[in-house]
Amino acid sequence: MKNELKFNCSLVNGIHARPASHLEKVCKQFDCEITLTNLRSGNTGNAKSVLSLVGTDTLLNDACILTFDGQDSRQALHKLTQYINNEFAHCDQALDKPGASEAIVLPQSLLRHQPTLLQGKCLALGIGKGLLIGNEDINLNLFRTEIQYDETARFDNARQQVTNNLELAVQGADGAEKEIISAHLSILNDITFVDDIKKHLAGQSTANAVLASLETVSQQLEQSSSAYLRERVVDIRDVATQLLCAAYPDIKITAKLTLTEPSIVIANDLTPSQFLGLDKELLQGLILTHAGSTSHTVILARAFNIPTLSGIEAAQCTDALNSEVYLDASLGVLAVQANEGVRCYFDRAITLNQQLSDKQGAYAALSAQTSDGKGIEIAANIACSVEAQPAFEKGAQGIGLFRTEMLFMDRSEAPKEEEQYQQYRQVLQAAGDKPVIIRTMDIGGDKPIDYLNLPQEANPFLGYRAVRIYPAFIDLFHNQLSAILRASLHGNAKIMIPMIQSIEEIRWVKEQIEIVKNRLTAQELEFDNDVPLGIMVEIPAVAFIIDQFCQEVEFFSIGSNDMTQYLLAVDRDNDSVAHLYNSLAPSFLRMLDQVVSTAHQYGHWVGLCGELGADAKVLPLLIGAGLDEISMSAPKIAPAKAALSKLNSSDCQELFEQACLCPTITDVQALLDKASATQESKPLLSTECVLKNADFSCKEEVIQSMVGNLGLHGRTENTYKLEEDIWAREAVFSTALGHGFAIPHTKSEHIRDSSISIAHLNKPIDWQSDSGDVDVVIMLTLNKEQGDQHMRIFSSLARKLIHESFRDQLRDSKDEAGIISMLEKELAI
Amino acid sequence: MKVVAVTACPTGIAHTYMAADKLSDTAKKLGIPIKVETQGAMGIENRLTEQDIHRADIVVMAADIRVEYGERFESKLCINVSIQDALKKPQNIFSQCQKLMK
Repeated sequence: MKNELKFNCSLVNGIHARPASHLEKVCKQFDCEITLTNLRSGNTGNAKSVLSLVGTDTLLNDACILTFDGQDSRQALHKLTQYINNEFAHCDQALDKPGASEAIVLPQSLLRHQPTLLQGKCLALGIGKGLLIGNEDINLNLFRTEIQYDETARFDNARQQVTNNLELAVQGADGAEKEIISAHLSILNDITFVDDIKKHLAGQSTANAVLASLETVSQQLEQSSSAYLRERVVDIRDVATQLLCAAYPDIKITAKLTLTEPSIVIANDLTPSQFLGLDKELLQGLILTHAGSTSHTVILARAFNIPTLSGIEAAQCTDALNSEVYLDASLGVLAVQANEGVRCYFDRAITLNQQLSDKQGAYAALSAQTSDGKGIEIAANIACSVEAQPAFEKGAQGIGLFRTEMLFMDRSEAPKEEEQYQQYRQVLQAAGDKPVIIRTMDIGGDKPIDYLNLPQEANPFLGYRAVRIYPAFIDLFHNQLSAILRASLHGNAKIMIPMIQSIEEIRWVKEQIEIVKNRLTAQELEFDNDVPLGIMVEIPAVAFIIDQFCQEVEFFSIGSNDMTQYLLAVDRDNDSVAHLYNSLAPSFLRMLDQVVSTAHQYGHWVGLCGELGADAKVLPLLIGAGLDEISMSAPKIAPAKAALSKLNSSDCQELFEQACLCPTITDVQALLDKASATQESKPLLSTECVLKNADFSCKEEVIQSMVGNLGLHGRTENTYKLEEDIWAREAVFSTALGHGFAIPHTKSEHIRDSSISIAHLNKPIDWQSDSGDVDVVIMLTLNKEQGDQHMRIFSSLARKLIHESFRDQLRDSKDEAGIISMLEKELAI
Repeated sequence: MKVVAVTACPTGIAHTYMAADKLSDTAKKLGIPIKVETQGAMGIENRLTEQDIHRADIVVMAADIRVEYGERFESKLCINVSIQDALKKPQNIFSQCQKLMK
């Protein structure tokens, strides 16, 4: 007895794996045959098979018929009618549009070349250029083999094993991850897929049968009109790979990636060890599709200055694989199929970036001090020993935070004491006599370790982590202490304990250190008996009893990220409240003041490690608070030293005192803005803004370079916005003057110091006007706040430009200094 | 023929002043008395007095934006040109003025 149900598909992304598995589950409750017919595509599929359902290529608003044939078809019809009407539409949510929430304005000098861009999310800053290399191409053909013995048993065992693994994984997962694993599970149990494999098993090995079915299903999906469904081939492939690995445990398919030329690697995610295995000289950029900003690979990428994006899927850029691409993490874009103009833009951007880092790099070797000679230690945060040497090359005066937990992650058992000892020793040796603060493992919470079997928690940040797990894993803690104490003979080590909240805890830790020391003495192993002990100040409670902690430990380091989170009770990874996370909160500043001043009363040292330290705008406050050290990721060190050299310590102190009295964050921000505006301003005319013999090939490159040059010399903090203002004026009518001159100009809030920039081009270019080609460009950028005096000079320069004799003088000036002295004379500056 | 003129451009940084000088220089060469008011980023400079306007035979408005206090010229013979015209073909502007005067 047949029944039919007609409906229109109400799913935005059509019937892909996730809704298909919901529908399949409902249909499987009945014995009758249930088929889905898509009237648009004409495809028919078994409604009890996810893959069949997906294969019907059903998109939004497609007219469909469910046909029921069998004993309980009436009941099935009844149930499915209810399901389709009430639940089906809600079983899938619209996919996030990548980059939709980001409001980065892309510069006109790029957009005008009509680039092909893929939007992602910035995880590590920088710009890179290279061949786009995919890391997902595991060659499944390696598994191909002849029939060996009982292939059905081999397949069933493999399927059972993968099912077990996934079922276990699905329990520990949530959100999107859970959905994906569930979808994989239903593929694994899909009737069509499994029957197809079993059919092939009659005459083929498990490997060849799985690969044959994979091919069939992939082809079906690849023909789908929905991009989303086409991309699901990756899921089927993933399941097939897991099956093959389980069926043939002897075949190792370590996907080791070897780079042979400058490359940008795209991968779902890389493990830290895969990342470390890549040649950093050749690695110009990374796209980690699913990585978050706290992934350890991302932390490493930042330390190694590798520009990194997330949110771009390999399937979006299959055409670009093995061709040259540009990755600009600051803009959050991957540029594929770059035309000449786009290449010109990015090559120039790379040059400007390089110039900036060279300029800042000059500060790396200098000691960190303010303009009035107050020194402060600028140290590096590292997560593994290989980062130490590059950090010192970038100017680190110590290691302010060595996060040791990475040694414990991504592995099947804890590292032995000897392995840890070698790691700590390497860092200490790289440091020479500079201090190295080794933080004992901060494991648990958001940093789970499989082999410790820590329980899942509803609120991991307030839960079982760091020092709180040490008593239960006492051998692990003892081994770590032992390794650090022994390694300390090779340098200037300090031990720091994370998540300390009470005096009881630190006293317990001290007892453990004594136990370990006694053990080492008994074993006649050498160690340093005087390694200083300190704590992370990241739980607000500690701030109130710093005086008592001064009796117990020798130093403090404020963990600004967690401290802000705990002090303000804001989870910064929760989008609904992330805007409340702000370390400029007056409460945070007063906490800082309380900790530093109390510790200093007792003659104790206080550092700060966390992202706050690397924020140039906040630096005056940190100096003003009187911190002894600031620790940050290595690439930020030279810029921080450069910024520090322009600050006056007593001004900073006054600023900090004022900031602590501010009632709101907005007031603190306004105070910082004011302070940065009153810093000594740069002269209107300077040789640093003259580009003689410039090789620019188009108007876009001229504006990009001249604005970029202002950024290079600290005259603007936002080159993109300043450029936007220049182009806005250019849109009114071209600023070409004729006679080979052009005067792009703007009055903008994005220029810190009003500037006159001059570029003398080697070859005239088209200024996109009817006034002929241009070879002398004079760019006027006027600060909105800086008054009439600059304006008077600008207007007088403009007036002079209509005179041929003045133009000739400008063009004929021999060098940068000549141009400046001529202008100073003519404009009476 | 006596001329008064007003120059004004969108940002008021460059073209307002260039156009003003271009008009003055050209008029000088042609032997035409002229006074040019600039309305730029520094506000109104070389402001035209009531007397200047009263004595003038014609007003040249070289502007790409609305001119401030335009009502001063309501009863006068006016010619509106773009800043670009003033910069590129200043002589044409004066010959147009002469034509209008006839």
